[in-house]
Amino acid sequence: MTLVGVWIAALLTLAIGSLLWKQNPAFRLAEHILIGFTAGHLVVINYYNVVNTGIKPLLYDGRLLNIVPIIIGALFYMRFSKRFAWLTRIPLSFFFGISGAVGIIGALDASIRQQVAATVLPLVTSYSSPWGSFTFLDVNNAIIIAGTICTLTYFFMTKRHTGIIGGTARVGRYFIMITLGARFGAVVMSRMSLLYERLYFLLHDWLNILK
Amino acid sequence: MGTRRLIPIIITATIAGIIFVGAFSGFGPLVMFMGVGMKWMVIIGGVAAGLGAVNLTQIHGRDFLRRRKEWWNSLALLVVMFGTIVIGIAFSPTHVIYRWLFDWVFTPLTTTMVSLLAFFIASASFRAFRIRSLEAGVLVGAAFLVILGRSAIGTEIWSGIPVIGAWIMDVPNVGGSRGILLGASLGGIAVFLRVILGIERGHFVG
Repeated sequence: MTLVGVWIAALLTLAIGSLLWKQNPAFRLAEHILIGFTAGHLVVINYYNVVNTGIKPLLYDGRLLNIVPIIIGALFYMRFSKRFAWLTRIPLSFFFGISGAVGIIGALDASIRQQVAATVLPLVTSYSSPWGSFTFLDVNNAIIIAGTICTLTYFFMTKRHTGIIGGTARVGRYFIMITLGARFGAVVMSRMSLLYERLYFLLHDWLNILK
Repeated sequence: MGTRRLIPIIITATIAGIIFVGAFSGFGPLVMFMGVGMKWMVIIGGVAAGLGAVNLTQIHGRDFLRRRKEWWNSLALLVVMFGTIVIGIAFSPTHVIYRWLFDWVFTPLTTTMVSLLAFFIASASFRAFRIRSLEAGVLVGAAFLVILGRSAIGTEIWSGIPVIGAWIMDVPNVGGSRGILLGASLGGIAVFLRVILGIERGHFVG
């Protein structure tokens, strides 16, 4: 079974990789297989989510209230009826109500409170030695604090970017450029490592050229 | 505004209001409502997930039955999708057959697809990142140093390059990322509030 698996995986890898040459039937077939498996996998995972979270407690623990979300979810299928298509707004409204509120609460804590707390860093560092203690300006911490403030100022749209705000926003733009560049570099390298892994699979597991 | 539009807005605002009051007051029953709401999200989303499969079946079933161009791709998609669903539900996602499909079909397809992005990102950046200004130069310079710092050739050129690459990731990148995250979070909260208060109604169209 493993040998068959290696061959199938190698052929599918080559089919997807052939896109580097140009769009071709092998790539399109592999692409459709990927979409088919992904859709099927999502259905399977969600089936077990609904069964374990909704149906089993309903049938075995008598949690009758669980019928409500199942009915609400089923309303999504009303989109196939022209007359009742508007009913799909009901599950959507539940979705946006819960996810919106939970999203705001999460953002206030994780993305704002914790990020602000993490930016409150000491600007000076003390160093003790046999000759006495010295105090230095912690340049790295100063750069992090300045970067956060300047970048935030760049997104400050309710004031015209002139004077001090303009200068701070201009520095913020450089920090944004460094961040985007660094992120770009990190993404390229992560994709490259995946590519090495695929090449290693082809040359080692499939062709046995690499030992 | 018609009832058909008003009811969903009232539901959204009421549910969000209850969750807000529960989260910020710590009042027991309302906190419990938040927990129940999260479970309901999983169930509602789970039931709705089948909608994607129904849509795909409609589109690709039609393409296959009418023998449209490259209909065999549609057939392959439907066979793989229903095969995965049947195996996953009849056995389980941890069953040996399902795992075999996951390891030898799904993993190579996704990893190759994602790894190809390295080439497309590189070629797109080659066209987009023309150094016409100091800002563009800073972006390209940071990217170049991070890439060199994480590859063997960087160390071969000069042992300090990985140190500089790591410093860019750990210091200026952290400052910039925090600013972007804070800005995006504030923007996201504003959008969520507009949705909850019914000012933004684009998602109810149709």
